[in-house]
Amino acid sequence: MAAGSRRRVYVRGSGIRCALGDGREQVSAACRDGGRAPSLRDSVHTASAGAPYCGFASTEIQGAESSLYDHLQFSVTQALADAQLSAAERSATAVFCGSTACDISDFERRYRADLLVDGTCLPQYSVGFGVLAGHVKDHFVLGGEEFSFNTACTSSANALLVAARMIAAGVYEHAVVLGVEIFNRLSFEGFHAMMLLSPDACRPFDAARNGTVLGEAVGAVVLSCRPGPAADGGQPFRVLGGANTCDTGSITSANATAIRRVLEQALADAGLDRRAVTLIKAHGTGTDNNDQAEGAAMRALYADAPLPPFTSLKPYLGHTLGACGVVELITLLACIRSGFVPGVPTFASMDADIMLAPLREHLAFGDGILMLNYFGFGGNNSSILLGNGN
Amino acid sequence: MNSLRHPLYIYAASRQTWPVTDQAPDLKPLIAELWGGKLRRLNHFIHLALAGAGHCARSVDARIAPQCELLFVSPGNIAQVISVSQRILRDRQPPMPFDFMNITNNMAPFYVAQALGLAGGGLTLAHRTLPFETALHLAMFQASQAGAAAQYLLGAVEECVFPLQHHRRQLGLPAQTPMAEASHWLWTGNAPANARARFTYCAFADSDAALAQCLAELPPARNLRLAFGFGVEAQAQAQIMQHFAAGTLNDYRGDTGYHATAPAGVAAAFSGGALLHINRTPQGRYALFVIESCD
Repeated sequence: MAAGSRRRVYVRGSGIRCALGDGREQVSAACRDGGRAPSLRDSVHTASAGAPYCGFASTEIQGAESSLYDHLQFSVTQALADAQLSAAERSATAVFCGSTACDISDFERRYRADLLVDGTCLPQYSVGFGVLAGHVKDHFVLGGEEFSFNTACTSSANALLVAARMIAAGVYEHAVVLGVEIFNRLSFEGFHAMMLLSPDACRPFDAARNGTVLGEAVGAVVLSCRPGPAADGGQPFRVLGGANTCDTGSITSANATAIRRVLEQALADAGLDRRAVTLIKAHGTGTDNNDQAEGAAMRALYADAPLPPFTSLKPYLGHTLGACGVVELITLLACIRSGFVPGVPTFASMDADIMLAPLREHLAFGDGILMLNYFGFGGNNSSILLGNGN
Repeated sequence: MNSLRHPLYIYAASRQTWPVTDQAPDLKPLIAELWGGKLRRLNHFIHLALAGAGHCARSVDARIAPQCELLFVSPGNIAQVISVSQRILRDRQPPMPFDFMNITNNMAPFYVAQALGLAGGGLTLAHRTLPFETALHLAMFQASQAGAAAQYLLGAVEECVFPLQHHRRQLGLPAQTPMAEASHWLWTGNAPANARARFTYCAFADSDAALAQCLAELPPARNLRLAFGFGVEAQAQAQIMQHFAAGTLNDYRGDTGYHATAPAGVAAAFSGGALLHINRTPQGRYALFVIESCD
């Protein structure tokens, strides 16, 4: 997004349902209080007691067999109301969805019910991974195109990037960008089988980190070429630029050189010097490999300049996989609107290989330039820069 | 209505379809022939992607630039998802780690990028009914924002779930519909040199009136032929044909089994003149693209 020559792209509204609650106010309040403890989920692995999981906070939802479409409609309704998009504006609004598992949670729910009746039944599935964006477009009568991104943990970050570029270029006026990840056995058992889940807690960048904790969330962000009503009086955040690159070195292991490259490309795209960044939201999964590679990349990028404060939101939200691009953006901005950036409550000791410490306490924060980083399986790396003020 | 007119040049393309009846084709021999024996522990969806991309890359002497971006689209690797889900939910067995890793939808483009030595960006897309048209729209947009050296490798891959009759029901297709698996690839970019064809127009229209507006604003083209996607029914097709009194029909739908990514195959197999492809969603939204020869 060449700085200066394009339309500005504002974060105009948002809606969220996640482990911290429903809506920005609940989310920022829960972060301020240190988050919620994840609950234990069982596993089909007979040798395992299961693993912690950051499920939805609402007690009405917990244990209910609700459809992901209910959560989707909740978050999008909230985001559209927050953005105050008129009917005419909705007709010029496209949908960009990022998800890893898409509607697999609903597919599993149907299949489990059918198996109870007939143990040899065939699964009932949808027409494919584009159904969520399609549903939102139809249900909310949005006039633009629908795009679904499926790049593992960078899915909704890439949805944000492409949506912002298309708005900046004048293809669309507005976009609803979705990050969707609901608990499903496929993801949970798969991460368990790969031994990537922590048995107790997500500790990004900590010497004693022992895996990630998964979480579920549905977030919706309205991006627009015009700022919203800014009911809280704050300076609206804008998407300043970003980058997406692919590293073909390994399907699962992050690489420091490749990560540094995407951070540099994002800064170049936004027309910013690295010293302009005032906060980094790291991907920070709490896995050995990711945090080491990400830490090395940040160290290299800031080898001869002070590293800005950085944090990870996964101890609060869990790793929401393809949804984390949108969900962590909403959470971070909600906290900043409340005057702080959350620290990492589970960080206790510096890792000798990483030699970096994230924020341990909440940091008072107002205006600034934020770098949000996301890395996924398949070598897909993305970085987004946001800013408010001048 | 939303239209893009940025020319996107095509340097190489490959259309690969495998009509299926009772099982998926065994692609391992083809993968070994195209890529040697170095690719192991991959699933059928990834094999499909590698088979098509390999054919595309081999069809020209020139080498795809390392900075080429890969735009990969499919309805989703549904068969693999179902297979692993059955193991977990029905058999109460944990997934094998490689089965789980390979199930991520962007693994297929990862292996393609690795095999071709690509290091540019990569996006994996899905769409419920217009996967290729959506990827083309994004490619033309990205190209319009990029420099002269920008390249995009577009891949459209589709697999079937077996038994096929069950798959047809899930997709809402008539019981006797012929089905195909497919892997269509196009190497495209902004530079006109050595291009054999170019996309000149891509648009979405949300009503018949908007479609008429699109047809009215089409760039002039010689020897324009028409082709219709599986979503365009006979009555709508006849109305559109009336608009083009002299237009001839490229009715590829009878020659290939159903697959949602078929328009990518039409573009990949394009040769000479000009072609307007029109598709339609069940919700009544049209997607159009025009492809022209560079002769």
